[in-house]
Order: sequence, then structure tokens, then C-alpha cells
Amino acid sequence: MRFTGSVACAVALAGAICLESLAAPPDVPKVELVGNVEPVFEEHIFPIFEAHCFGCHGEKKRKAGLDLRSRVALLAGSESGAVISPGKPEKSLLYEMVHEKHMPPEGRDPLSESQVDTLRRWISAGAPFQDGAFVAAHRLNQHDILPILRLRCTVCHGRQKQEGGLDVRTRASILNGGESGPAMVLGKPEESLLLERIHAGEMPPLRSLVEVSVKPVEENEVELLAEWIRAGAPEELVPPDIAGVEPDPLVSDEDRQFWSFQPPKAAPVPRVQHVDRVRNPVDSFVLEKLEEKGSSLSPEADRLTLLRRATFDLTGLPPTPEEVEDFLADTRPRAYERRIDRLLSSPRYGERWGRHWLDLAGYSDSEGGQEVDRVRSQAYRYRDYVIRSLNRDKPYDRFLMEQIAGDELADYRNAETLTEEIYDNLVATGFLRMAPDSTYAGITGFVPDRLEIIDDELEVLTSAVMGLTLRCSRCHSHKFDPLPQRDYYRLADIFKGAFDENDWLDPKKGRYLPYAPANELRVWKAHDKKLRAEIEAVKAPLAKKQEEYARKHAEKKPDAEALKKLEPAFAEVAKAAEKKIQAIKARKKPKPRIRALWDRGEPTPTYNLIRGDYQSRGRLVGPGVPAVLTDGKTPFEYEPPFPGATSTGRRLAFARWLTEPQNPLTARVRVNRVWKHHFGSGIVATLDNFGTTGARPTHPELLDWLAVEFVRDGWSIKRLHRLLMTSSTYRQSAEITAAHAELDPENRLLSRMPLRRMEGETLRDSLLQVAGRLDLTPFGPPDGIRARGDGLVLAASDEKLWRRTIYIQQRRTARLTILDNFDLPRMSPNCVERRESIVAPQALHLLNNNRVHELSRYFAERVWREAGASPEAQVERAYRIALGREPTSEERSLALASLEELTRDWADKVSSVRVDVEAKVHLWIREVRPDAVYENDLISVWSRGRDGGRRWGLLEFDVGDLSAAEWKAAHLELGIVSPSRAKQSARLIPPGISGATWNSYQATKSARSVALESFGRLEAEPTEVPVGSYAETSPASERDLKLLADAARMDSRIALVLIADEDGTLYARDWDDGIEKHKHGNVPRLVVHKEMPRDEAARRALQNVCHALMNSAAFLYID
Amino acid sequence: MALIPKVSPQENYPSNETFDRRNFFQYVSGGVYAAALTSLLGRDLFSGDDTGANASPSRRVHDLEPRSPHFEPRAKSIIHLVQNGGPSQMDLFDPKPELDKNHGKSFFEKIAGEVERPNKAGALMRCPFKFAQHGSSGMWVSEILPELAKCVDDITLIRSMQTTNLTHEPALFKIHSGQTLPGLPTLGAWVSYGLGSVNRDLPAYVVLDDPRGLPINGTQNWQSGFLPPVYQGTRFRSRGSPLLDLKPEFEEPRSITGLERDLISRLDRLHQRKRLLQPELGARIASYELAARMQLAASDALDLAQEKPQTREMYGVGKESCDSYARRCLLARRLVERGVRFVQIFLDGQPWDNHGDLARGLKKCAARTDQPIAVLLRDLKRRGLLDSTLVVWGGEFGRLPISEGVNGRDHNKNAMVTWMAGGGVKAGLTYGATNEVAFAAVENKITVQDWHATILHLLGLDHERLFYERNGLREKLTGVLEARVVKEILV
Repeated sequence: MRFTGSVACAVALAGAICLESLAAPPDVPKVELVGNVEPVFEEHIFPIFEAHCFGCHGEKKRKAGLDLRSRVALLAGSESGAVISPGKPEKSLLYEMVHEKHMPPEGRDPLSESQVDTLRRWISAGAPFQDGAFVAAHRLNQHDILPILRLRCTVCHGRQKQEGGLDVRTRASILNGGESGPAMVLGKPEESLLLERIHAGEMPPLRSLVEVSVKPVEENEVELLAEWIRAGAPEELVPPDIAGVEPDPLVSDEDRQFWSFQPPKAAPVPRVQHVDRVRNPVDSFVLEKLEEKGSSLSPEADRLTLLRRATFDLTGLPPTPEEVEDFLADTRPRAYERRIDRLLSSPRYGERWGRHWLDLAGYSDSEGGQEVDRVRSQAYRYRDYVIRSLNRDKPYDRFLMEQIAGDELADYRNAETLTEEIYDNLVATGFLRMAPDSTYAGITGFVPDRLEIIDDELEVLTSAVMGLTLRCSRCHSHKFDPLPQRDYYRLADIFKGAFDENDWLDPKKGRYLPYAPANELRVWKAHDKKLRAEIEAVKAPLAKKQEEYARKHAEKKPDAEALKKLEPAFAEVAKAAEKKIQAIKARKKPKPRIRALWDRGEPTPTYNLIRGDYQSRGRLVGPGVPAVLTDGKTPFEYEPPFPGATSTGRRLAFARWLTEPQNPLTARVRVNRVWKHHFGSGIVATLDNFGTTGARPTHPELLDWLAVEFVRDGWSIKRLHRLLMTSSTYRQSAEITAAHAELDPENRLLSRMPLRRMEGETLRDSLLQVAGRLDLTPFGPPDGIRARGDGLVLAASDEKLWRRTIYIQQRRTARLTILDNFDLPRMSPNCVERRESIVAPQALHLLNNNRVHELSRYFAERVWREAGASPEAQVERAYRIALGREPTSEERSLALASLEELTRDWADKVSSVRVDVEAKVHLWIREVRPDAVYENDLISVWSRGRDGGRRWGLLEFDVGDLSAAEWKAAHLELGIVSPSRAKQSARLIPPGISGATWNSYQATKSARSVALESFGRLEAEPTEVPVGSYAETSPASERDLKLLADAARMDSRIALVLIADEDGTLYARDWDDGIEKHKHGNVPRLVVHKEMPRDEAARRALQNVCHALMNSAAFLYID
Repeated sequence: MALIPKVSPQENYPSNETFDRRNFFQYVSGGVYAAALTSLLGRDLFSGDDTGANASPSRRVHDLEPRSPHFEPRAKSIIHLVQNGGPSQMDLFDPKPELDKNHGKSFFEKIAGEVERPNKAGALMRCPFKFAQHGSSGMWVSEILPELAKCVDDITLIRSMQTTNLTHEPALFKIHSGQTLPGLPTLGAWVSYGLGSVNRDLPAYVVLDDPRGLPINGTQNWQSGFLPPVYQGTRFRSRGSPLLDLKPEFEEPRSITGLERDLISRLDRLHQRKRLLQPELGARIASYELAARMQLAASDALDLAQEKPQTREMYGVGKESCDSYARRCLLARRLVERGVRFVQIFLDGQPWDNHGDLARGLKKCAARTDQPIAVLLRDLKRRGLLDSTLVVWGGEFGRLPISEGVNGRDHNKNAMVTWMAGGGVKAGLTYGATNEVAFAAVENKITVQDWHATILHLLGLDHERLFYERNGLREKLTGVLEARVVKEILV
């Protein structure tokens, strides 16, 4: 091929195009000859390359896909595209690399200055060869042009829309044009509509760029377009870079020798000395290593420790007292094994292990990225799918297949009914729809934003399932592992049918398939119909009024807006009606649908992106899997999954490849994770990295044996649990001896079981179970959360029952405080391993948080109910419930002594509580519902009216409406009243609120507005104080006021919150329970009288002991 | 009257001959399992020999123990005054006569791709305020910042910072975490991971958020991302209880609370006695003791009543326009005095986001912050704290030279203004420049990662060596982007 010099060089590296050459005449460029000889390749350049470059870019290795040995090879360039721009050394990647001394890499022999200069002269001369040929300059073709149109135009003139009838996705469709005729005239850029519109600044329309996430066409892009059209819009058949039948130059067989890239082979089970400890082969492998060090397994843990360990491991909950009794009663052999089987068949199992999997998937009920943090109303289906699949012990290969390519497993589009299988298949694909995703907003939905999301999804897949750090190869070939950059883009191309940055689906509506189980749809439709009827019912009287007006004034029926202006009374009614309609609409439920990932059949081409930059396209690549995991000579083959399918079938082929028994990573990575959750750390400590920078397995033979066994056993995870948990290794004690500390400080040899702390979810679930407040209802939309003004986030529940944490909404912007404190990971995009911290806020939360405190009360009530009034029985029972065992004798005597002392102290405190009401100050005494403070509350104002009379009226204010001035007004008392009649607890405003800090409560304003709505029903009896009492008293000293506050504090059911005297002086107890005076004046005197029930002190004391148990290390840690 | 007994831990918990609890860390570091714990603690920070064939699990128990920086630090603490919303560079610190000259001329077509709301974009718009030079440095400051204008000889003004995204959420993520995506550790989290806390009774990283409400992105502005949550920012409120769960939310006589704490402590020691070599258990007992101390320390640090009335007044406490900001600036000083590493002060929502009625909006923001900030600088200086405290001011991006609607300005990622003071930066320096209409930085450009690298550098941390192992990658604040310590602004 002759060098023609006609067009620009497209140096991919910086995406820069040398425009100046566009004007150059189409013949051999004038070359500047420096020195006496014009260098030619064979004579001057080859020797330089041979000395410095062939080691990596020659016969044996072709790093970055570059071979420097011949003209043909030079023409092919590297992953980054062309490396030589004839005539333009400064635009040539090759020259840049040696000139900037990036190449040869550090530590290798660099080129001398004269060699660099020779290279420069050679390229300047057009890169000639002895036979007179040149390295041809790159010829502009569709791969230079169409990507520009995809970036700038196809959103409106492409697959999803063809505005003006125009589709610019292909040369043919551009020629075909739209309503205004062909969009280009070959050879005549100046006559081409496409360019005309761009030049005129009409396209893309500058004022609506953001709506469609498009940037204007850049200057050099216009020039390229023009040049391409001028040249007749040439197309070239560019073969994509895919695995061929020839050996892969980038990944060698030597690379494949690394342990984790070899398929696992089951080693023979070793023979060991301590045969008596061998229950199954796991023990033999572990003992072998221990015996090498002259050690052995630790003694077996006692039965109840084992029960607690196993129950937490498999269900994430403590064993119930009944389970403990049952287990103790079973004295037949293999009682433990039977217990494991029972635990494995518990529905709680899937909730526990589902959580582990959701970490890997990066599960979230919201999109993140933007302040609104859009809720993913249907994401829970995927969560439920995971739980159900694990409970059914769905074989892991099938489990993966469904999650990666569920849409290609069965022809859902043509199915007559949505079978359970199809439903599961589609829901399962939610796996790769979990990354944070803000592309629902135009301004954060540009192509680079989309590429980030695709990258996140691929990261989820490769880290969680494949144990590879393939993400590194997004910008450059992996520095440590044999993962060339093209392998990243080949994988991306497998997913292109589903994740196409050039043809993006909006998360708001584009992520759903319109299917749902029939019964759900029925229920939803009925509900929706009911709401619509309710709305109609509200609207009807309005319409009637409109008609009345028309009749009365003999006019045409005015529309509602007009009538509002005409009749104030109507405006009021209309406003009330609108409010009601809003309230009805708030009860609307999202339509059941499936949030899924599916192949859309027309993937756009994928290019290596140089340095990951979306505007720097290198070589075209096709679909493929990481070469190091194959023999490198087998092309990746795929076909549409069923006859007539629009789907490419790429992901299905990928999933099949991934779950082949011979895949070196899939089974190992999974087995290793299961191991980690049982034994504290993985056999390969770096769970997500099995590459060269990852850890080596501590027990490689064991890992392989397990992996092979796992596959042979039908990829059954439950059988794997059973194998591991029935081993002697698992049944060891967790005690560390001095010998352990010396020999095996980090327990890499498994010389004992690790002591483990509960995860946040396990802790919360356990607290609920122990308190008898755990609602075991599974599945369905998540239960809500509520963020308090001060930042505390709690699970919302009107009942005193709460569901397991996995069923609580998981938003990115608000996380349950208890989980936050106990190391709930941020999904960025997923969590491959949780970290553990030990910090004061954990202690503060367990000690001081109201809900934990309240749970301790339920716990105490339960103990009292089940054990009666005897302190001995109570302590026994409390231990049995919380720890699944009896207290030790020391614990027993300690708990009993504390119980006694606490009872005494409480009795002492309680008897002194009295209230004397002596004058006209208004005192509210409320029943404390600690958990409910701030929840479901409505800000309203209790007022006695200006006349100071006895009647109390209730004024309602939305939080935002209540100004500081109103707050300070005389005769006002601020209160918070629960809107629910059932609770009927009246509470006054929380301490610390004043006009200045008012806004800090705005966060929950919307919730309050809703509450306000429902409160309207109470209007009939506004003067009635729902609960508690109210009294008047006369002024006294400030000291007395403090006394009162103290007295009220003694009884947790009584709290003095706010006092107002006759003059409107307000007194509020501030956080430190001193009295904060808002206005000086007369101070009332109050003394509280309060009788306490006889056994109240003992009950209080028991609650303290229960609270202490919930705070104890014995509770939080699992031996 | 505190709900928690004001007694020392010594009194609060019965003594036990096995442990001297007050010196727990001393105990473990010299104790029998010192080796195990040190290896747990020291692993994934700084150590360069952890990869390769013998890489060990990077799991460790994370805490806030003080750690040495990489090199001698210039600053021990940072106060970051976060100006959320995107303060307008050409109306505050970067006067542009060209804008006056070309007021009303069309400019949109040249920058169409850089406008968030193109349908509202107008023509070039001049600054509504007067500028003057101040101090011996002659730094230009707009008339709406009269108090800061008196402090210019203590600050380095950077006019040439740029970021990569022109939308609040991603730009805020970028400013805080170096990347535009959610879920990543913030600068403060990196600093507390890198350096730990000097004051063991207080968190290393404290956030003073606005009582009026959270900023955009909410608590994600101070998250720890993939770093363990122990490194995330702790919100201290300026009124009410300073810290979530700091004090019981329920009513209980303090003697009862004392008895219960005592029971917990004894139970834990019994539990631990059988597991003497488990380092976590000792650390957990220590965390309960720290919790008790924190209750006192946090209340003390945040008790503004301890300040002289003149001091409070000087900051602007009680002044309607700036009371809350003044309180927080004063609190920030009290916190850095006590060794807190990183203090951030936020504004609610994004007051600097002046899409409409720019002049009024800017004046309001200035009135909220100008006096407290200037007094904070002076107060730190007077107390000799400015040398060891780096004060950083800035938002997430700048604004456009064209109008939005009638009299607002839209977002601009190509030029933003920020300043630093104290802690090793030059005084009275104006660094970098924008083009003639302040649309884009053109001279001495600083990227967000340069800015991060420079701040870390001032704290004695090398951004290349401060990493955390994750997914086989060494994650860094500056990521894979090239970052440069801006040496020119350092003393």
C-alpha cells in the first residue's frame, strides 16, 4: 500500500487530529531531511528496535498489542491504534513514548539521543522502507466518524428517536436522510445538510443540550466529518480485536501457569497423625499444616457454644431458649449434624446468606448520585430472589447464570404466561443493576457518566464472582496480572447489548420490564382503582359547585381556576379538596414491574479507550473473556439464545463459560467466600483478588479439593456448609493459648476458631429477637426508615414489631444509625469484605439510644413473664434468651448482686417522687414513649387564647410556617401531638428547640405535613388532652423547678418538658436537664407526687440488667 | 447536671488488677499480645512490603490511635470552611474590567457545552459590587467582604482552581473525595485514617453542620466510603446534644446509670478473663471507657459559656445575621485547640448557589460568614494557632461570566476561587489567574487533586503513599490522576 498522505493521522493517544494536514496535497509530503541520509526502516530503524524494543514488542511478546518488526505489524499499531503518523513525529505515539522516555520502561536500556533523532527523521520522511513503501497513514473511515455522531446526534436521530425522520447511525442511513432529504452529499461536504446544520449552530440544539446529555460538536470533529464526506464517506472493514485461532501475543502460556489461572485439581487427601480428629477431609488438610508445625487442632468447643456459633453462622440470630432445650435434649449421636441440617432448612438461612450476597452485588434501594437519591421501588424483588434462591439451595452455577444472563435463558417475550422460572430469570438480572446511578438526570447522564456506571457493574461482576481486578485494565493494561486493556473492553463488549453508553436507558423508566406476577397486578389494579374513585369522589362536589355557579349566573361552566377567583368560598373548598387529593395520591403504590437488565440486540461497536478516556478511541474490539483464563486460541462464540431472538446471546455464552467446571476461578472464589464467613478469613485472604497481587492460599490443596468437590456436588452451597461445619476444624474452641499466640498469631493455620463480632444487621436482629420484638414476615417492599432532625436514623414501625434488617429500606443517603455505627459498608459500588472497627459511638449507641433502651424493657418484661419474680430465675432466663446458655457461677452472682442493688436504689428514688401543684402554671405530664419521640409527630400549638381563659384551643402549623415570633408569643405552649388516635400520647416540643434552631427540623417537614393531614380528624375535640395530665401551679423559685425536673426524670413515664406561666414566660428543660428560661419572670413552684407500684423498682432493676446484657461483650461476640 | 455521672473512669468502674484500663493502649502495646495487635494495626497503611506472594489479609481492627505522618508536617489541624453552592469568583475575589466593558454582549455560543441551564443563559454580566485592593499585599477583595479584606495579608488566594463537573452533587463528591461518584472516602476521612486522633477523647474528624439543615449530598459530604466507618466525620451540633447518642435519650437517675455501667464493665472483664489473648476484647472495653470520657470531653469542648463574653461577641455570637456561623467558627477554634485534626463547617443547602438575584444572595452569604471567618483567623493568630492550623475556604465550583435569567449566574467548572491561610501557606499571595472574563483558569491551573495533594502535604502526608488496599488496588485520595503539590504557595 502506497503512502498517499492524503488525510490526517488519527493519533488515538490524545484523541488529537492533526488538522493542518487536511489541507496538504494528496501526494507524498515534502520531507525535511536532517543529516545526510534519509533513514529507511531496515537499515536504520530495525537495529534500534532490535536492541531496545523487541524484547517486549517483538516475536515473543507483544505488549499493548504492538509488534515493531515489520511494516504490516507497524501498520496494525497497538491497542491505542496507530503508533506512527507518517510525516508527523510529534503526533506519533511511538516517537512520543521514546522522546518522553516513557519507553523503554525504567530499568531498560534507553535510546540514545541520536537514535531518538534518527527515529524522528524517519517518521518525518514518511516512515519509508527499502522497497520504497511507506507506513501508510491512517485512512479516515466510518470508525472515525460514527462515534462522533453517536456522541452528539443519535440520541435524537438514532435508535430510540428519529427526529425529522433522520437516523445517523450508519453511512447508509445518513445518505438516506430524513424529511429534509439526504443528510450528506458524497464528496461535497459544503452541500451536506448534516454539516450545514452543525455550522449553523442548529445542531445539536445548543439550548437543549443538557436535556439529552449531549455536548456540542467540537471544531476538529466538524473538520473530520467534512473530510470524510469529501472523501466519499469511505467505509473499511476493520476486523475487531477478538481471540483468534493463533496464539495470543499478549498473554502467554507462561502467564497461565500462575496458580489461580489453572483449573483446580483435587489433590489426594493427606494422611495425618491425629486421625482421631479427622471427621472429614477438611480436617486432614488443616491438620497436615498444623502438624508440620508440631501442633494440632484445639479441643472441641462445648455444645452450647457450638450451637450458638452455628446458629449465628447460618441464620444470623441467636438460638432461642426452645432451640437450646431441644438441642440439649437430643442425646443421640449426630445431634449436632442434625441441628446443622435443621438450621440449613430454616427460612432464616437465606436472609443471613442473602445479606452476604447483597454486599457483593452492592444492593441498594436507591439510585444515589443526586441529592434526591431516587428510590428504586422494585429493587426488593432482586433481594427476595436472592433469599429464595439460597433457601432453595439453587445450584451456584444456575444462580450465576440467571443473574448474568437470565433474560437469555428463556424466551420471555413470547411466553404466554409469566412463569415462576421466567420471573426469577428476569428479576435475577437485577444483579448488574445495583451500582449507584445518577444518569436519570440529564446533567449527570453524559456518556462518561454512563461509562462509570458500566465500569461499576463490571467491577461488581469481576470482583465478586471472578476474583479479578480487571478494573485496572480500563485505562491501561494491568500492571501486575496478565490482563491486557483489550480484555476489559472485550468483556464490556459482551455486555454491550445490555449496557450501551451510546444507546442508554433512562433509569427512571428504562430499567423495567412490564411484567409482574398476576396476583400482584390484580391487587395493585384494585388499589389503584379505589384511589381513583376516591379522587373522583373528592372532585365531584367541586364540579357540582362549578355547575351551580353556571346555573346561577347563567353562564358557561367556569373552570376551577376561574371560579376560585370568582368565589373565595369555592377557593377554600377547592384548596381543601386539593389537599385531600394529594393525600390520596400519596397512598399510591408503584406499579409492579421487574427491574432488569436485558440484551437489546443492537450493540454499538466497542473500542479500547486510551487511558479510559471516552474521546480517545483505540482499536476496535469484539466480545471475549480474559485470555489468561482460556487457551488463548479459542474464539469466544455466541449465538442468539433462541430462534428469532433479538438478543445477541453474548452474556449467556459468557455465563456458560463462567460456570464450566474447568473455569479456574468461579468455584474457587465462591468456596473461598463461604469459607471466610465460617472461619473468619479466606483460604485466599484477598477475597476479590486471586491475581498476583492477591494473597496466596494458606491451604492451596484444600481450596482446590473444596472447589472440585463443590462442582462435583452440583454446586450446592448448602452441602458445602454442611461439609465445613461438621468438620472438627469448625468445632474447635475459640480459645487462644500462649502456644497459639506464638505459633500461629494470625490464625492462618486454623489452630482455633476465631472470635467474631456480630455485624450490624446481626446485632440489630438479635436485639429484636431477644426482646421478643422481631417480626419474621419475609419478603416484599422494604419497611421505611425515618431520619430524625438530629440525624438519628431509625426503622419506622407503628407496631412494636420490627422486621429483620434485610427488609429495611437501604438508601444511600440515610442509613440506620445502628448499622452505620457497626460498620455497614458504603456500596461503592459493592462491598467485597466488611471491615470492623471498635469505636466509642458503638458504645454510646448501645448505652444511650432510646430504641435499644426500649428493647431492653421488652426483654425485661419477657424475662419477668417467663421466669416470674424470682431474681435467680430471672437471671437464668435472661442468659438463656440472650446467650443461649446458663450464666457461669460468677456471672450469676454478679448479676444477682447488681439486681439487688439496683432494686434498692430504684425503690429509694421512686418513693421520693411527688408532685405538688400549687399555682397557675401549665404543666404537661406525658406518658413517655421513648421510641416514638419525633416519630409521626405533628407540630401544633396549644394555646389558651389571648384572654387567658381556661379553654385550650389547638392551632395547627406546618413546621415552616411557625415563625420565631409566634413561638415567643404569650400564652402559647408548644406541643407535639401524635396524630394517631391509637397512641394518644401528647408530647411537648423537644428540648433545645427555639426559633433559631427551628430549621434543623425541616428535614422531616414533609413527614410532618402528612401527619398534619391526618390530624384533622381530631378537630372535634381540640380541648381534650389525650393522655397524661395537666395542672396549674404557682410561681416559686428556679431551684424548685430544677427539683421538679429531677423528680420527673426519676419516673421514666413522666417527663416535664415545657412550662409556661401566666405571663407567657416559657421554661424548657434543656438537654442537660437544667432549666432554660426563655424569659425572666415569675418562676412557678412545682412538686411532683408519684406513687410507684410495688414491684416497679424490681422491674426497673431487671431492665437495667437486661440492658447491660445487651451491651455485654458476651452478647456481641461469638466464640 | 449531666445525666452521666461526672466521675472519672477510675471511679466509675471498679478497679481490677488484671488491667490498668486508663492505659489500655500502653498495656497492649507492651503487653503479651503486642505483636499480634501491632501487626493487626499496622498493616494497610504506608507499609510497602505487603504485596506479592505473601500478602496477608488486610483485615485489621481499625481505631483512631495517633499515627506518624510521612514527614514533618506544617499543619497539625485543618479547618475547612465549606462554601457549598459555588461562590462567584468574579464577584468576590477576581475583578474583571472586561466584564464591565462587555456587559450585555453575547457569549453563550462559545461556551454552550459548559452551561447547566442553556435555556436560561444570557449575555456577559458585570459584577454588581466594587472591588478594592487591601493590605500590604494589595489583594483584591469585593466590598461585600469588608472583614476578610482586613486579613488578606494572612491568606493565599487561589484564582485558578478547576474541577471536572458542573453539577452540585458530583462536584461536591469531587471536592470531598476526589471523584465525582458517591461512596468514596472524603479528605477528612483520609486524614483521620492517616493520622488518627491526638485527643483520644474526641473524634479526629468533626463536622459542624448548619442547624438550619444539611448541605446538598447530606451526610455523604463526610463519609468514609470504603474506609472503615471509624474514619467518617462526626457531626457535632452547636446546640442541644452535640453528638448523636452522646447522652441517654431516656430518663434515669445517675446512680442507676452508674450501677448499670459498673455491671457491664464487670461482665466484660469476666468474659475477657477467659479470652485473655483476644485483642478485640480489650479494645472494646477501652471503647466503653472512651465513650464515657467523650461525654465529658465533647460537652466541654462545645461549651461556649467558657469563652469570655467579649470573645463571643467578637465572633458575632448573638448577632442575628451570623450567630450560628459565629458559634461554629468559635467551636472550630476550641476543637483544634484540643487536637481535633479536621474540622469542617458547612452551610445548609447551598446558599452560594445564586442562580437568580446574585447581588442579594451574595450579600446574604457574606453577612452570614464574613465577620466570623475573619475573627477566626485573627483569633487563631493571636493564640499562636494559625501556624499549625490550615484554614481552607472554598466551594465546589465557580460561576459563569454570563447571566442566568435576569441577574443570576450559572455553574462553572472551569474556574473557581479558593483560599488558604496559616499552616504553612504563604501570606498575602494571589496565585493563578483566569482569562479576561473569569470563565476559565488559564495560568497556574490547579486541579482538585492538586489541591488535595497540597493539603495532605501540609499535614505531612504524601498523597502517593497514603493508600488503602482494596480490590487489590492501592486506593488513594488522588486516585489514578496525576496530582501535584502546589509548592509555589507554600512557605
